[in-house]
Amino acid sequence: MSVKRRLGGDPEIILAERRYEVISEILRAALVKGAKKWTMTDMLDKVFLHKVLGIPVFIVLMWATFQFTFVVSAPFMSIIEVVIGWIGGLFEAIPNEVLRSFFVDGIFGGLGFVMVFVAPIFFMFFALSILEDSGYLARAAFVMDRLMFKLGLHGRSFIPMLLGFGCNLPAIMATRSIEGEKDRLITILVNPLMSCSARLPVYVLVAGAFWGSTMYAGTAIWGMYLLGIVLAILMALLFRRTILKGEPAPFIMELPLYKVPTFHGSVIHMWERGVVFLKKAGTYLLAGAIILWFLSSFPWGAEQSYTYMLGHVLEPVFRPLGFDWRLSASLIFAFMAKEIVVEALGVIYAMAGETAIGAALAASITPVSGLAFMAFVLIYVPCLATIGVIKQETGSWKWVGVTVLYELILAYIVGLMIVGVGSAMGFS
Amino acid sequence: MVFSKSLGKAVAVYSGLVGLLYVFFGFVELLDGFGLAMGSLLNISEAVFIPGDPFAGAMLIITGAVYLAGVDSLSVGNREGLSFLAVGVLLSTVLFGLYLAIMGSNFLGYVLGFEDWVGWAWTDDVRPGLWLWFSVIPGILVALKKDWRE
Repeated sequence: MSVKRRLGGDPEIILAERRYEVISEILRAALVKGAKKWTMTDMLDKVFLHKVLGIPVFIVLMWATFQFTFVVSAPFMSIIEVVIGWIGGLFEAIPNEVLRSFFVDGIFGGLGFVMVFVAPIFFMFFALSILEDSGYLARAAFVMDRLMFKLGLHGRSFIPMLLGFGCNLPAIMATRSIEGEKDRLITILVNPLMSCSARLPVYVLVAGAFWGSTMYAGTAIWGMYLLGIVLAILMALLFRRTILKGEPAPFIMELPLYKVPTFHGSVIHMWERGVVFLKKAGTYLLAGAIILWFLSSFPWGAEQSYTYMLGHVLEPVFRPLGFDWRLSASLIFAFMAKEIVVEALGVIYAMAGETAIGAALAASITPVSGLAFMAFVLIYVPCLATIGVIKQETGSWKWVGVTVLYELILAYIVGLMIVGVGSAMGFS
Repeated sequence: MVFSKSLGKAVAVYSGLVGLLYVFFGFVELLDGFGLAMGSLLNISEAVFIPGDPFAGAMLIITGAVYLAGVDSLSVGNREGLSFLAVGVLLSTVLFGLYLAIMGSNFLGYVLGFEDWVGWAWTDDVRPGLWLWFSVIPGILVALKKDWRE
């Protein structure tokens, strides 16, 4: 007979209930009761954990976070752009054409272009740190758990999914805390759908190209994060109903007290997370910029380069989504790291002589295709490092294959839906 | 000081008014954003700086709904209704802070003379989420008063 049947319920819940009974008994014996104090935490939790208002309130706070990330960081991006442009300009004097192109187009056009996005990444981490330090993010997990449990999913999955907003790598490793094998597998499979910070530069570039520094650009970025959450829930539900059938285990978590976040603390948290991007820039992204420059310059110049050929081979596949050869080629390079999409576009457009990449992008595709491109980058194949950690955590190439395959198909379907609906609404 | 029924009723009226203001201007902003030009029809959009933005409008509506959700319990003197006022005030303040930060960063872009900010005027960034916040100031004082939580 199983433990569950012998105890007449889930052992985890029974243990938790018993633990709180013991705590109550001790408190009854040791405490002299006065009037019950209604704390600020009780007060705020009544709304933040409200069964109807909890999720809309979460949506407002996330929307504000992404408006802050995009709109407020915009002039800081321009400052970085000016500084990088000035340094890059110093290399224009190099007499050797290939060497000059390497520095100006490859290093400053590619890696330098990605560095502009340091500003929104740091702004996003600052806003998320405030939410986390205040104790609200734990409530967000709790509120989402209720929704997820209703859908037959495991609530504990939401914490690794929230971590996925930063980076999918530690998020997938955090699934080790999930006991049920199927619950854990589902969480691993859907985690790459959570929008990690590496996707942010792509969103900022595309949204900025089409909607400038208006509020709509921030909303489009927020929409991508929301789309990731919704797709993760839907895919988890699909896996639960098909290849990973079973009941989700109950989710028990203790919520921290609310506190006023300090500026100092939030800045430290922002730095700890943001510095990962800077380290990546000095390694992966630098290597990516060099490879991209080589592929975009050889064998016979920009118009007959390897990237040009690769982009034209892939273009027919992506034509229904409205992506041209440049966007198609950039998607291939992003397999190394998602930021490389931006780096690739920087190099490809620079090689083609179009320095204002945002404007060139807006001229080459429609806003609807721009939105589809953002969604495609969100959903399609995880980066190389994430694939490695999925293999490590599942111990099988089969699940890596499942992840890559379903994400590619899903990305294409969602892209087609965006283009279809957008065109039907007359936005093309 | 006890949170009495009469005080509850007064706070309920205030909370209801603020909630209605947020919901109303949220709808105007939302409909304007969809091109339905409700604000222009009422000749208020330009007068009170309401840009068409459906998402920002939706956020105001949610904020207003939080205020309104507490009216029932406040009107019978239940102090737990203050929770809705407190979170409503918090959301209003988050939106106010956000719009203020946007105005500040756009001012920086303008001062530095960047291309995207040429022709920027401070009035471009005034929106209901900014000026409605001033109606919330009494609510901050009420919601944060420690006496109610003793």
